[in-house]
Amino acid sequence: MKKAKTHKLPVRAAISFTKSKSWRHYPIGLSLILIIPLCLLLGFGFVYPVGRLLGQSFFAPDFGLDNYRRLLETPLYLRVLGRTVIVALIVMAASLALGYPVALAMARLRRDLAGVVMACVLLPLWTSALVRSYAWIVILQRRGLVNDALLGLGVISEPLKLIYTEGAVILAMTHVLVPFMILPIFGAIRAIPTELVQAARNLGGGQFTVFARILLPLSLPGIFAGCLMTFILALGFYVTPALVGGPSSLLMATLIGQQTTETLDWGFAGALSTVLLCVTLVIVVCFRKALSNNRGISNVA
Amino acid sequence: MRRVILKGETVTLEKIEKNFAETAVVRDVSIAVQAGEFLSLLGPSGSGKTTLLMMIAGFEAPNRGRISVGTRDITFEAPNKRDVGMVFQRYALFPHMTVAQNIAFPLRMRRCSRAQARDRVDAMLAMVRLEGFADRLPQQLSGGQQQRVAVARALVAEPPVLLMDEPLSALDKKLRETMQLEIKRIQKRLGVTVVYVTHDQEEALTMSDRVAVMADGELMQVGAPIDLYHRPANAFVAGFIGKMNFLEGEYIGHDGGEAVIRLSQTATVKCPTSSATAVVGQRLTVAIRPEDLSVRPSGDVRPGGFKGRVEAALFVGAAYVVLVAIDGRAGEVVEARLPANGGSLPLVPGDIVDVFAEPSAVRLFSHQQRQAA
Ligand SMILES: Nc1ncnc2c1ncn2[C@@H]1O[C@H](COP(=O)(O)OP(=O)(O)O)[C@@H](O)[C@H]1O
Ligand SMILES: [Mg+2]
Repeated sequence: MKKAKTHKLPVRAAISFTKSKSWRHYPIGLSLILIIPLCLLLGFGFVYPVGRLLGQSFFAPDFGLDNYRRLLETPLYLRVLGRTVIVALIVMAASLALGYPVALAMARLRRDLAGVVMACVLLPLWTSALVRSYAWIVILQRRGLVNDALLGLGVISEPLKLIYTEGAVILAMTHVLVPFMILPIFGAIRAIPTELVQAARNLGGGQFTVFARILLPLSLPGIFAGCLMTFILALGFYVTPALVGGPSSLLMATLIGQQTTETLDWGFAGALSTVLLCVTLVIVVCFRKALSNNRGISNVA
Repeated sequence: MRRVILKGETVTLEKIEKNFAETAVVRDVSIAVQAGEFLSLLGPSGSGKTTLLMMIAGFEAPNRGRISVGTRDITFEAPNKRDVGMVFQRYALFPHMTVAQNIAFPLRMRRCSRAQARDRVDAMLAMVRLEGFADRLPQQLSGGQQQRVAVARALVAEPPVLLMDEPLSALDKKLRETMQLEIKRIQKRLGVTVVYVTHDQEEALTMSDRVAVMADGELMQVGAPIDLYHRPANAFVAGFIGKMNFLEGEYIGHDGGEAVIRLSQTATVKCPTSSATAVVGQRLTVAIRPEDLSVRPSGDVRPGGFKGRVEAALFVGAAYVVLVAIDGRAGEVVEARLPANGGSLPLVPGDIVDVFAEPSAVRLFSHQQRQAA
């Protein structure tokens, strides 16, 4: 017992030593000056307007919790909130299902081939979400690619309603968000030393065992990071649901957008934002808790 | 608790060749490792030792040749079907599993019952002296302890062969020596065949039954440590194992059944004719171990000896190391190692001395051979 402890301490001491040294290289004053522009930008561009919006939920039009009462007492709004969470969960799950194999393949491929796949993953990220959403409209609309093909083949006689549905929203959002799942998982798998895989094989493990008992558990930190990222992005996603979704697939972000641009009800928009923010925070905390409870992950991460 | 008893098997490498994109990394290597033998692959970094081990473990396939364990041909067998244990250089313990789970891993792969697995894990932990560490995670262990877990994990499924790739290189000198003894003790007790990779000749000599010296992908010599030391097959082995003085010389004929090699106008050495198949005038390399040279204050030069001037005389504990500049050879120095015997050495830098080597302790290598090495 004692031995391991005394062994660990010098390591920690060494780490804090190098840390303190780097502080001496970069004086604190200089660091502060360098981050002032970012702080100002965050303060005026983010904290102030968000704070004001949240504040207005209690003050506009009158002081009180009227906006929140309205939200909680109207089934429509609660349904939108529930739908938003469920759609975000589905998008997250779909991204994981589609993204994990890609990340795994990328991590196990030769370096040059992995680079090609990586470019394919990143390329969509460099195109605007607007463009990608319009592309889905072209594919899914009443006389779009899919319907034309199915009609032409005689599989259906009437065009299917594909666009402006919840399915279209989920499909398009998954497409936009899947790189945010792939990248952290790829990073996690890449970081697993080859020797661990070789050791598992050497000790009698087949390909599947190596995946299930070594790669999967050791890539959990990447999975958690990817899930958290896609889920949070999906919760607040605006452009794609607004374009490919319809009234029956209204999500929170679109609803908030309507309040601020169409009905100009800033107080209610603030209340909706506050609730969405709280839901996001609660879920982030739950994720973190799950993360720290999992021994394997805290060890690796 | 069940005693772990293993029986080693032979490992046969036949004409193994391995290329990485045109470059030959292992060339025509054949070694027959006996059952229960401890064989070291010794060679400088980049000589192909790891590649050879990876081919035995199944992570690389040879371009040519055959690998077998016992009577089984495993040349193209999947790594998980080979039943060959391996200890990796950086241990490769699974960081998300406890010590016990790590050691039980190969047993789980072999569908061993939980109760039986627990007994075997306990037996292995006792063998590597880590009782009470079963529920630790690898990063809660010191380097030496991780090493022991890696050994236990590699041996728990009772493979007939154990491969180790520089397993002690990450440990400090003291711990390394302890672990060398520990590994030998376990190997003796289990009777497992060990193929052990190292670039540390001292480690190879102290641990091995036989050592296979490799250089540049080729096998230089296989033999017991004492044979490699006293009967090196070529200049490379002579230089790589232990300390050796190499001197260029010219064969000038015999003298009473001994070949005479001229080192300079005034300096000659003699060696048994049997080791010289040279024509008069041929240039050869003379190799003499420091401990085979005697150095004494100048008197009459004996035939087969030469004069020199002491450059430095150093006390190194068990011996004196004396560096002597050879008379007539500018700047060239031989190293002699004289037993200390408790007395002080009557030699100081600048002294003129006689240097002598028993002919039987002098070896000759052809010039080209030395160049190649
Ligand atoms: N996967 C590989 N691809 C290309 N070259 C390799 C590979 N593995 C090893 N080599 C080369 O083969 C040679 C021998 O390597 P290695 O077997 O690791 O030597 P050692 O273990 O004796 O230090 C080195 O020159 C190394 O660069
Ligand atoms: Mg190596």
